[in-house]
Amino acid sequence: MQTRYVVLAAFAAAALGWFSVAPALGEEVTKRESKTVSKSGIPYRPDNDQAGPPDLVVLIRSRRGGKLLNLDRMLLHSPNFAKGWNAMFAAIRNQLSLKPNLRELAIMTIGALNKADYEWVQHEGEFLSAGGTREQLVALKDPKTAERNDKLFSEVQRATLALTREMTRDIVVSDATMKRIRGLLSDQELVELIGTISGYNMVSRFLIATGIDQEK
Amino acid sequence: MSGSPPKAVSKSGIPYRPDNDQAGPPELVNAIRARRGGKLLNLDRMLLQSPNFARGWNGMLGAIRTQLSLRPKLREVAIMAISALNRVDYEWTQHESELITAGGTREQLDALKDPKGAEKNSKLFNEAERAVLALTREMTRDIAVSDATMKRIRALLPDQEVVELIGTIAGYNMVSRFLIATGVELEQ
Repeated sequence: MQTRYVVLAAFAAAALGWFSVAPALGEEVTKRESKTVSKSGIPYRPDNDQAGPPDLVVLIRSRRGGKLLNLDRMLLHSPNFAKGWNAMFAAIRNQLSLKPNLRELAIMTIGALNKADYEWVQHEGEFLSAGGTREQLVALKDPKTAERNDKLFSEVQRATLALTREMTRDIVVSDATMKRIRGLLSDQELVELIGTISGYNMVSRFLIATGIDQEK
Repeated sequence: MSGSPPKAVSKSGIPYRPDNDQAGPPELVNAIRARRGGKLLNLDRMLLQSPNFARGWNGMLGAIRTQLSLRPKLREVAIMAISALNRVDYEWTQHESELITAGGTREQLDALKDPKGAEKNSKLFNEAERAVLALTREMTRDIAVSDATMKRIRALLPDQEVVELIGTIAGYNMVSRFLIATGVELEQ
């Protein structure tokens, strides 16, 4: 079956007269240019100023150190949705009183539990800059075990891992876990942690359903 | 005075912010009230424990509810299905009238209590609605979406609406988790 397609394709290519040129050209193009279509088949908005309304593109670029991620080029199909997303996640990333270390711990765990590779890869650097270690990063690939690892993770970190797992997998949080985390964080930090875990469960679902590819 | 006083503490034991102007920064309390027809929901009084988080939430959910090109009926069908799948009474109750306003019927509302059954009910739901129900179930339960469902929905909606629908389903999975973990109660 496959052979037949290859033969047909070769015939078609030969008939068009570019058979020998095509592979070389293709290679060059993939090195230089951004992906145009996601794994789910949805086209990305262009990787330039045409991606969306100028003020919004400028705003998103300023949050990403000048570039647009594949995620942004997908969000920009809907400028109003992209604007709301940018406001929400800029708040979670930069404007909370929750310790960045706990935030990134929750995000890596959600990336692992939901098998959202894009989320995991994007946040490895963030986790390390927030004070996480390489050893912790490796341990977080198995969140349920990490939760019991009191050599690598402090009590508040293990409580965060328990809350993250319950909210992500069961949605319902046990009384024991709620009591434990409330004994460790202020009400404001707790609401922010719950909001962050909820928010990155949103991110996982968006990334996986739209089929966002890793940046080269 | 009639009615019971506003609850002070959620089912999870977390205190609500007061049900008055002291709930948070004045400009933010006004923005939230404007979106809620003048009042603060228990959800808002929980969010206001973190004014910056509340502001981001209000921006994101305000966009989903009022600024998308996605048809309101499809949005509300997805939200009701998520509430049923995730067992979030608060979300379901808040959105019953939204589904009706968006053109939904009482019969559809009843059927949506069993989202998996509704997905196969071609008498009550049209093809776009059933495709939305399939996408909603897969994103909510499995996270991964099957090729067949993605193909089906992409044939029915333009790219902008597909992205908005995926964003809405993802967003209300966030809402479900926040409501359940914080233990926000229905308003009296």
